Amino acid sequence: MPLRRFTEAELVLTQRLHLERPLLVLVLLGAAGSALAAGSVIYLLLTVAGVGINAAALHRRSEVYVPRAIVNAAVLIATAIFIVEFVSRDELLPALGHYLILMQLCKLFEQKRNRDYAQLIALSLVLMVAGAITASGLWFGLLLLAYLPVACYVGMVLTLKVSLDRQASAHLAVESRPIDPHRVAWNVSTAFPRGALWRMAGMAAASCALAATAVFLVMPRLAPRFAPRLPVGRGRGLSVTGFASSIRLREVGRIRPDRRVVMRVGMTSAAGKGSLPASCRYLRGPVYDTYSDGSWFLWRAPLPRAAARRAKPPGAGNLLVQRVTMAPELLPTLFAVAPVHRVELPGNVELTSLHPGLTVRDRMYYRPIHYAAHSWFAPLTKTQVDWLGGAPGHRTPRAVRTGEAIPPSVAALARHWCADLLAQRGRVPPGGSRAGEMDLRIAERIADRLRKDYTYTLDVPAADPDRDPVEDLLFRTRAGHCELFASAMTLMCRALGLDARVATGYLLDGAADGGEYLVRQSDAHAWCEVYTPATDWRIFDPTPAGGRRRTAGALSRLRRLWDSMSFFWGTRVISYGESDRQRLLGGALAWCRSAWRACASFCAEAWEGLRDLIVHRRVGRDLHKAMLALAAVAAAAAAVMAWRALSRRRFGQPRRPDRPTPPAFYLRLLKLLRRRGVRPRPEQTAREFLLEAGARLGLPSGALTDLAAVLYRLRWGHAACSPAELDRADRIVRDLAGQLRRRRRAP
Amino acid sequence: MTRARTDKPGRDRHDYRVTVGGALFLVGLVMIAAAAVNTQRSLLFFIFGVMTGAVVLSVVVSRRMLASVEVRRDMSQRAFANRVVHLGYLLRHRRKRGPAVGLELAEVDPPKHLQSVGAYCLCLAPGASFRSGSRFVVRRRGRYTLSAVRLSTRLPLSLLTARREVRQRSSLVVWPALGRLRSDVLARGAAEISDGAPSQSRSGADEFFGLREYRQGDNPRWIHWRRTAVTGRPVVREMSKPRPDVLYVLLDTQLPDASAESARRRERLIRFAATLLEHACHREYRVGVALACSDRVVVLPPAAGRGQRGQVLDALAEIDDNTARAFSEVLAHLPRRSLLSAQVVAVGPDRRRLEGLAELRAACRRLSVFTPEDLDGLFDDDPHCQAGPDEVH
Repeated sequence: MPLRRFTEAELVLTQRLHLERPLLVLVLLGAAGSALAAGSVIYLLLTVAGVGINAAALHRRSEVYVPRAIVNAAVLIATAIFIVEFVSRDELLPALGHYLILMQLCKLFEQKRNRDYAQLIALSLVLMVAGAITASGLWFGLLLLAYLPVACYVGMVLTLKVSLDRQASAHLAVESRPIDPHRVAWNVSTAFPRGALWRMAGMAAASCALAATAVFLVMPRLAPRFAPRLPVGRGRGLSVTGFASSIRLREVGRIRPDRRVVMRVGMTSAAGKGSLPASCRYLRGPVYDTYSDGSWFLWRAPLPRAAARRAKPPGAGNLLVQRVTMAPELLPTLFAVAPVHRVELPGNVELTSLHPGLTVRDRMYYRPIHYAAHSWFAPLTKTQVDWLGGAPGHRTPRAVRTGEAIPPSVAALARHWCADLLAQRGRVPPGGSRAGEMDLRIAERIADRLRKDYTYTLDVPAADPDRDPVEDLLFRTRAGHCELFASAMTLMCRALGLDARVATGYLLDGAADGGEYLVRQSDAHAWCEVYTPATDWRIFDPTPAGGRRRTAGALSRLRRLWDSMSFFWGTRVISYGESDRQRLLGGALAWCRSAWRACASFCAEAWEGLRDLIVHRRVGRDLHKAMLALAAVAAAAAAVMAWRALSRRRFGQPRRPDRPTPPAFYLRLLKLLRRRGVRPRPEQTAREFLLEAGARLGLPSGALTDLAAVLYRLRWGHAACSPAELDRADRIVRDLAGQLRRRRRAP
Repeated sequence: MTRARTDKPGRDRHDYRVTVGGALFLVGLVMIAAAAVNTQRSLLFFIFGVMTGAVVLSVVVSRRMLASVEVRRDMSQRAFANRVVHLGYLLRHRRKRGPAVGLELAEVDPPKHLQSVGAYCLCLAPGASFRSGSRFVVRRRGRYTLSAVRLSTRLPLSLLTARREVRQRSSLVVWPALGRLRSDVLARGAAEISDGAPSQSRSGADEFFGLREYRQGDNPRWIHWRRTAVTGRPVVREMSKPRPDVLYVLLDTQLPDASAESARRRERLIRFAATLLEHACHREYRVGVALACSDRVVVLPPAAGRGQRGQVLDALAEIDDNTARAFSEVLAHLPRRSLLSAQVVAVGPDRRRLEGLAELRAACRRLSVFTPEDLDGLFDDDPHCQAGPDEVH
């Protein structure tokens, strides 16, 4: 790998080093943004390797490059990779990002001139744009903020380098012989303005960020034309959580917990914060009712027509209001503690189902949704149960479940576990409250057995294709995750004649932070709900413990902070929409109006106060306020002027060197002579002044000459005098003072 | 040296030019705006804002930088051809904060021969000054005018070039190139031709004038010690300078034909005249010149001193390419009285064209006539002028 020899001009213009170091950082940032957004770690590693090699070469004051033919071949290979990737994956943006990263690598190993530096910067910028289209995480925002000052700095240094090279080449063309380095490079090599450029770059980046924020907040938003084609959609979230139209137990393999925050829930209850029961931790989403061949299918119930909607739901002390901010990936399902009797939705969202799960139709589904759900937590009152019992689709139609095939072994196991309870139940008349209690006891027994006798795992072993997944769980693997346990319990309850169903949603974990819960994707859960006429649908969670690991300490707090910031970023920044913009501008406008009104009323009051003072000679409160305000303004103005004066003194005028303080005997002598009306003139030296003063006042010139000699030695010779000499000088001054005094007393 | 009036930013003209990189950046800006509107991606709006901010920042910062810098041009007013001329620029940053970076200086519409002058300042700290300069060599005599200095910068992001024109008018008169006189064309020096009588004036230090009493401020070296010892009072010698000789150069500037060879020969004669006059000035002659320009006949009566030297050489520098006025017209304008004690040198392309010299010979003290043929053994021309075309370096 040959090393390029620098020309003389380049050797002199050492700003190449100043340019390439931050340029490599810029290249790395751009590639990291694009590669991480597309999830292509290999390309990031390739870039890190390329940047590392270049940085090492730079450290050795050399440049690494390969012949142009090899670079051209690499470009052709990169193009081929791009075509293959695009054709095979049918996704343009990631393929384009990879192509640009490869092009950047080719450029890194090319012989670099100013044009190549500019191309590297442009490629890096395009990579960041590609990353901005693909990524939406907070990390990308931070990366962009770090990218900005580096990009500004590199742009400035490259601009300087181009100008300097042009100047140098112009002078080289004119001069007949090589010019002296100090004349070509001016003051570059010794005083490159790195600090000034960094400061300028920082200010430029801050200004750009401010401008970007202003544009971001004010620019009107429209409906996207190509949004459905974008890689970020709601399907990704749904596939992870399982909140789809069906749960296919056979297809579920290893589940990887995703710590993305998808929801922020604030709960307020009429009963107070500390008295919420455990059932309030279950935010219910889709409910599955029909089981067939190892799969659960969604229970769809339409929203009652307006005419069929009943009167106001009965209120009670168990009212729970949940204010939810939800990521758009979870739509069209809304999550809330069941049962929900009222939902407050934003204007662009329309409710399509209330029971058993909340389903909405959102016209701008890529925005986060803010809603409030009003629920009742257990135990429900009889009027509440009656109100709910009349809702269409609230209970499962038994006709749907007639064709279910519950494996006989599962039914037998359920009967085996609850043999005693079943016997008791046989003695209770059906339909009564006792029968309901027995049903709940049976369900509790099944849930207990499942929790005690089985283990929780996310790494479910491969299911036997010939067996039912629930049967496989109960008799072979004996380990599974929440969906399997909820399914097993539901089927066992149904085998014993109970009304049961599978509900999915989120289980609120950990303590609420200021009354608010952060809900992560990993909090997704499934459980079983059993119906009795007296209690409505009751939640039973058969999933064994051990599936949730709680972390504590500083790391956990940091993680929570990061999650909270990420959620804020996602819901407030990434999902900033037209409604937010209108709200913001409306608020700003209202604030301006109110400020204007306040200002106008203040001026009117001040005028009234002034008029009172002039006409009636009365000092009122309004005048006091006006005077205070004027004083505050004057104080602020004085502070600004003082600051400006200080800064002018500090920056505007060069600081004069400190003048040496005259010795004490000379000061005394000056004072003495000043009393006699003799002052030094500006053009006089000390010696001249003393001799003139001596002539005028009739003082001995020898003594004054001695004093001048001591003074000159101290001031200009920078030679210290001995204490004896200083004493002698003091004595001479005292003698002179005595002579003057005596002469004054004499007639 | 001339120092032009300090410029006032308000009066200067500012303009911007989009660079190639800036044009591409603007295209990218439009594309990103379209992408942001189409996709409604928030980060694209942010990047669009960043790019817009970069453009606005380039306009504001570059203008602020240029407006805060004072420019002054320092250049000689006179110079000989083929000699190095120094052109200096002084930049001073008036603001208290923020440096001015990457400042380029160039002349606005410079003459053809001064295209390459300019300067570059990498970084000018707040309140600091920067001196820079370029040097050049003008091959051709004449008057060159510089009207304004253009201060420009591409900082901060090279998206556009901000330019400010600072009006500063300077002119440079390039005198003809000097050669070397092989023999002493001037017959005798000033001292040799002074007559035996003492000079009437009391200045100089060449010739004894008399004795007088010492006055305060007199140089003690001129004390006449013997006379002082005799009189008992200090007496000093008083010296005088012999009356300087007069050189009058008459130049026939009319081209005999329109050929390039004639022009070249004429230029050589002008260089010879300049060299002769410079030589005479150096030897303290009183010099005068008479020549014809296209619009007038220039007659400079003999005088001494630096001012006269400058005027004489200026007249030679500003001779037109050709004139319709014949040599006889120049002779007609000559003040005859000033010729009486003058040594007259007539320089022309052809001896036959120098009419009326016989009459002149009687009117002056001495008359010499030089044609290009006479110069071969008399005058060594400047080597750069022998070599090549009239250019500037």
